[in-house]
Amino acid sequence: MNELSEKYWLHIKLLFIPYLVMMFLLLFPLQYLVYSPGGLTEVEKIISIEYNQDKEVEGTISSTFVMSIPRPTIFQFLVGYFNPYVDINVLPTSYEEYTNQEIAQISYADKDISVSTAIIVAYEAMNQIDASIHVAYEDKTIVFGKASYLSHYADIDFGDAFISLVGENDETVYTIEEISGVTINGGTYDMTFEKENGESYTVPIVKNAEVGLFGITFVTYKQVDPALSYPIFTEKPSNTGGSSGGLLQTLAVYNMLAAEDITHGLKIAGTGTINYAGTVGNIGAVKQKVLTAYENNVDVFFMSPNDYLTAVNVCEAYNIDYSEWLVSVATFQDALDYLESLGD
Amino acid sequence: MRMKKCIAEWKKYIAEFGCKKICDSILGGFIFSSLIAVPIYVILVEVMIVFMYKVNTVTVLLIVAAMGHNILWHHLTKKALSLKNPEALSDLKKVFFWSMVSLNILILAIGLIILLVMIPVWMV
Repeated sequence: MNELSEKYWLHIKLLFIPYLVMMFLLLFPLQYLVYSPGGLTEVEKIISIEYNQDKEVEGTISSTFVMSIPRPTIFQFLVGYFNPYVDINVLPTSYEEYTNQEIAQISYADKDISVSTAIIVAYEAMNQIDASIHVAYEDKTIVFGKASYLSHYADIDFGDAFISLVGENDETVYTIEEISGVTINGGTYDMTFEKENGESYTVPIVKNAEVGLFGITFVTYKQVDPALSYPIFTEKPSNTGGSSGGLLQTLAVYNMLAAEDITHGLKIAGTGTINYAGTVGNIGAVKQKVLTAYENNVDVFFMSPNDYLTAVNVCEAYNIDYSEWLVSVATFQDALDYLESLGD
Repeated sequence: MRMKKCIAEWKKYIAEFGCKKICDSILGGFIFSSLIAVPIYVILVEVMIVFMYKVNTVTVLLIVAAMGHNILWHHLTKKALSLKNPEALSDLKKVFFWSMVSLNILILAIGLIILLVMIPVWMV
């Protein structure tokens, strides 16, 4: 080793400073958020249902993911800055207090809610056709945000379920709506949570005297119980997060339950959240999602009417012919009707 | 016959340099080649994150970079050995050629498994 050091000593001396500069560019994070095109995720790879196993599905139904890169390095910032497909924004204030890992955890929790909603909407739509198909669910309240002043910040994870709180006079409440009625500012209360693996834990949490809050943001959603639903479904782990796959997840689950193949052999993708009424909601990073769909040569791309105009502008800016594949749908039923019309 | 010659060459090389010098050269070669290769890996991984829609292309570039790293490692190891013992009679080119080729085949095989099997599994 010493021989190599001696032989290349001049090179080492000359390149030492440029090397350090390069490593700084490659490792130093900036307070920005970069959006770039991602890819398609076939929904059947994350949700499977033991039903209609003999049915042949010729096409595919995929949700679209984009790369959301919080705190890019200087190098990533520069690479993105000179790429027309990439958008760079200042890191939102809501993200500033969170680490990149926490931002990812929020995104995964969002995805869980989205998948649960999609299953409910699809099963209930199919229940109108076949009464044997039914879905059982219950309300679940999870941690969706944490403030820096939250006591036991590190013990409580995003996605942990709220179970109960022991308030004044040892009164135990089980819903978040009841919490304010049994707590006072500056008080410390035992709050019980349940982790995803079913393990429960209790931590004493202080209700901040200045702001009058515990420092936790909760979200309540309907969690599906696969064991009490028919047919049984399995949700597999996914590396993508966010709620924008809701519409496509609903369509895919519906297609797994329906007797006929609604894809008609097409490569179907799209983006848009779904709510319990089956309404499609708007999403972020429309530009990157449309470009991802275009790069992947999809046949049909569904999106909400609110995002459609943005998508059309993106297509025109990039000289993309959108007339054949970009479809605006306000509801899940609109998407079904459109696909049905393709079979005529 | 060829195999016998190769083994004889290896025996001669080990006898000539000794384990300590060989290990030191391999370690030196690895450290120096890594100093060059690591920033390249980091650049490619960061490019991959930004251009996820070109993940296959960047993965191919990563495989090529890993193979280049291996070639450089072998080259620097040979260089270190020849600097340690300039009068050595062993044919270092021949000694290192097959180890370099076999390691590159291994890198290629692992790279292809990642490209064709692992990435489609991860991208869900």
